[in-house]
Amino acid sequence: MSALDSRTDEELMNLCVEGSEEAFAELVKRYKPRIVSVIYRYINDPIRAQEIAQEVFVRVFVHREKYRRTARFSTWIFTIALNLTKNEIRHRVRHSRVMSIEALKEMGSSVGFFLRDRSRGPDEKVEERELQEVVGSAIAELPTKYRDAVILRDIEGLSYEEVGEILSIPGGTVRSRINRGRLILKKRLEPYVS
Amino acid sequence: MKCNTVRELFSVSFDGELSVAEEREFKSHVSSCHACSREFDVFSKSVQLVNSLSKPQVNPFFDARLKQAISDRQAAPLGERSSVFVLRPAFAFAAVAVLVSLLLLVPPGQINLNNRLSTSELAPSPEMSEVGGAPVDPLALTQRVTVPGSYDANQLSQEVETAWSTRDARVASSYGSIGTTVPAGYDLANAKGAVLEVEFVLDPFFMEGTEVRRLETASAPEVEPELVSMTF
Repeated sequence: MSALDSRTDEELMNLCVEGSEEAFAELVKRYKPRIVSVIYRYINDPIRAQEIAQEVFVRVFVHREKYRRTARFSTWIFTIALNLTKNEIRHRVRHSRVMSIEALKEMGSSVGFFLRDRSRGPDEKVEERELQEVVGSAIAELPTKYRDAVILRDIEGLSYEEVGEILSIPGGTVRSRINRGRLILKKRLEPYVS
Repeated sequence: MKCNTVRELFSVSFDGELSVAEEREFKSHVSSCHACSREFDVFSKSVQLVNSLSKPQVNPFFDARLKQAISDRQAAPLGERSSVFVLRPAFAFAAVAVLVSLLLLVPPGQINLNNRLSTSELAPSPEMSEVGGAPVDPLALTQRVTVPGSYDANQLSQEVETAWSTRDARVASSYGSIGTTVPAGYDLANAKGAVLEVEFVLDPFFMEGTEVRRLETASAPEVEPELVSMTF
């Protein structure tokens, strides 16, 4: 156990601002699985998720002096991750086809078509894989504002307060978005949990 | 407590965020209402299913690649950085600058007076949550600009063309094909009367301490603006 293990994220970031590469490495160790996971849940592409996660950490390091010492590190890094992920989604939409509103309406709930993960191997059990795909698609098809809240809360396990800080919304809105998002998911997933 | 109220509280109860008194009332209702009891059971199981989603494995070379990426980034002069993530905000600012230049370059007499220009602060705020009736992300904004009915194309600088084409502005009026991407070197003189749409993407790193303002133009009376793109 290194001396950095017991430090808070904010203390590590402060050390990082002062030039400690070890502190940065510790932050990477703590956050890389979570950042990769949250990005993956948006874009369903594990390889690209790793690349975007890498860019998140590059930005944290390159812009470390812009970190506000009073801010919670987790909300800062997840905000960066969400922004970069949404840039990726915009890029994909722009380069996949002209996404007119009418086209989107026609596509209806199948907007996840360009997010489908084709990288899984044949080893996984078919049922489990199918269930994962159903849940993943249900999340991908949530309206954006609910999806953001549900992913941060249920995939990353962030507190309501952290979700509010990342999405810049008040506590009451966080509660309502998480609840509504989950109620939509419940409706979609009911056949699989009953 | 009524059923509707109880269902609004499903999440906070599941997450243990209710006060002791609220939790007591919630449980009292759920234990006596078969429908809510069943709903809460399915709700809890579906949340647990989402919680149990498998997480992707982190590439074993992640740290090594990150180290390399950081040293590459630090070694590259700002102007040579080709990442779209780095260039995007610059484009956004260029687009804002171009809009201002465009409006300043057009002789006042040739400006369609129906296109009232006003400014309002651009920041993640409630009033930005909707543009044209459609939800937008607080860090992104689609902006429609009505190109005046007549102006001298020679007055437009090269910068204007570059920025317009860079931002993939799309024609969004009955004067052009909806959804058409404006190509590089697009001749703005031929866009007479058209309503163009430009997307601004803001980056918190580059926005810090900067006051950014949004230009708003009312659409020309004969043009019905249409939302042609979706912003996440």
